[in-house]
Amino acid sequence: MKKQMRSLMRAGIWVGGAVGILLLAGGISLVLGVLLTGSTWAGTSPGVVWSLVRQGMRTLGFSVTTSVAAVALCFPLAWSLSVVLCYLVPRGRAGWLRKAINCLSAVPAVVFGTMSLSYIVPHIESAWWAVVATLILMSLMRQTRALTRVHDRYYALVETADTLGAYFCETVCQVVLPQAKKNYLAVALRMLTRCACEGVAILLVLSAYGAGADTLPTALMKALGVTGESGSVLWTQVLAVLLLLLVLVCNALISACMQEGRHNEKNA
Amino acid sequence: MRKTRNQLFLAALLTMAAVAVLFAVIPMALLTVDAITALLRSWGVLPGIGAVFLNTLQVLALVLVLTIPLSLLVSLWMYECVKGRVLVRMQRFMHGFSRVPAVLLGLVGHALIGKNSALHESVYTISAILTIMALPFMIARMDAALRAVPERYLLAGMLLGGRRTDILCRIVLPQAMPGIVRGGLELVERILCEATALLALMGAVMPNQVLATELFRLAWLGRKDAAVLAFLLMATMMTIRFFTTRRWRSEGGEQNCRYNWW
Repeated sequence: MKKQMRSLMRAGIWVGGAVGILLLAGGISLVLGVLLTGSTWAGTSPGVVWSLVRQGMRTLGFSVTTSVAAVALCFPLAWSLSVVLCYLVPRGRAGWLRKAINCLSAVPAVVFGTMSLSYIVPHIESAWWAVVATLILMSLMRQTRALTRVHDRYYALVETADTLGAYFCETVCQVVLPQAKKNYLAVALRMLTRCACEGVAILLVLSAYGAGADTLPTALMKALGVTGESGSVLWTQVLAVLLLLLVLVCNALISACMQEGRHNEKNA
Repeated sequence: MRKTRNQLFLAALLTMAAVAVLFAVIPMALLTVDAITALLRSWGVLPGIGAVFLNTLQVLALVLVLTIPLSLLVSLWMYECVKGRVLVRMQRFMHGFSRVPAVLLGLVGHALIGKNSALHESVYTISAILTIMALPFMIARMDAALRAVPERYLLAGMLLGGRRTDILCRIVLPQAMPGIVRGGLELVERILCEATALLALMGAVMPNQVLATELFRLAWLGRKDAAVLAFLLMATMMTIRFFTTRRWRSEGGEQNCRYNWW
């Protein structure tokens, strides 16, 4: 009986694994097929495609510039908060602060969009700055949480340096920074990807400004008819391809930055 | 024989007790929802929120029922049967795929369904899209939880004569349970927060969907009671995150490893 149960379990594991992998592979093939089917491209002149691509590149530029600006402005704030939390506040008292930051980082993006629409947009005239402010609001606690996890790894180093008589700024700048710089880059790139792919919150913020200012996800959502107007299938596909390329580039950069990079594959 | 009979009796007793608790709790939960809805309606706040709340619970239950068993089976298969470079590539694929923007998955769903508006609004379609989105994330989490179990526990089990499946069921899975439960709670967070994929899937802002899309609709229309729903959603997510980051007792380590498989 036990032997049969064991065989059944192993068979179940194999079947489940195979079904899961087949579903994912089938799903990906379907996605690529839907994106690249020729029927929507038939009879389209290269000039029309080129003008759509140029428009898409402008939208991509808006997405990338707002995301880069948000991460660049948010990172120092999150880094400072994380350093204070990990190395300055006594460990016993830091517990409730960490829990508070963890809980605040769970707030959904749509809530941030609602807050930005009510409290930030009335005070900012430029759509670009409103989007940057929203992204900073959304990313601050999440970045702090991610950086706290990075800094926790080097607590022993900081204690050792402190015991040997180093000042705090020397410890952080000459001990922690060189060790953690790759992790900082990985955290920043993850936030960049998240900001570039944010749709709902930015759509709410951009609804208060005129037409013309769009990020890739919001342009895609508008093309699908979420706001009442809809775009052509060709425009939707151009936007989808650009967004996918952006995500692939960011993922490749994150993989290159993280310690478990390609060189570790040989040791697997 | 006696031990088996005892275990069967306990299993039947626990099942009946769970069914009794569900029978008692579910009507109470529905009554609470109706009461709050009626109260809010009398104040003119958030009409129709009860239907939205029930839709959200339905979607959440469907996605959990579809995602958790499948991701557990796939991660067990990866743990047992896949090694070396193939494993590394699969893990990287899961991590990468879980970073695909939700709007693209909603776009694919929208393209597949076409103009059929009944399917756009259907709870099953929404659940299917969210399941596809959640599977790679959940597989990556469960894989990490299984691999976090120290190797020495497996070695000890094998040295004591345990078979592979016994070690898996009685040592690995119990030790990995905190990580799996934490992954499940993170999955619940993701499902409750997801609005982009659903809006792209529906192709319009429709009333009475799930909490996140309903909040988007209220904010889009400039309704003041969007703040109430935003506050409720924020409080719910913060409560779930509080439980996710709790230090589970099993993380105490070796004193909780039980070699009771004989």
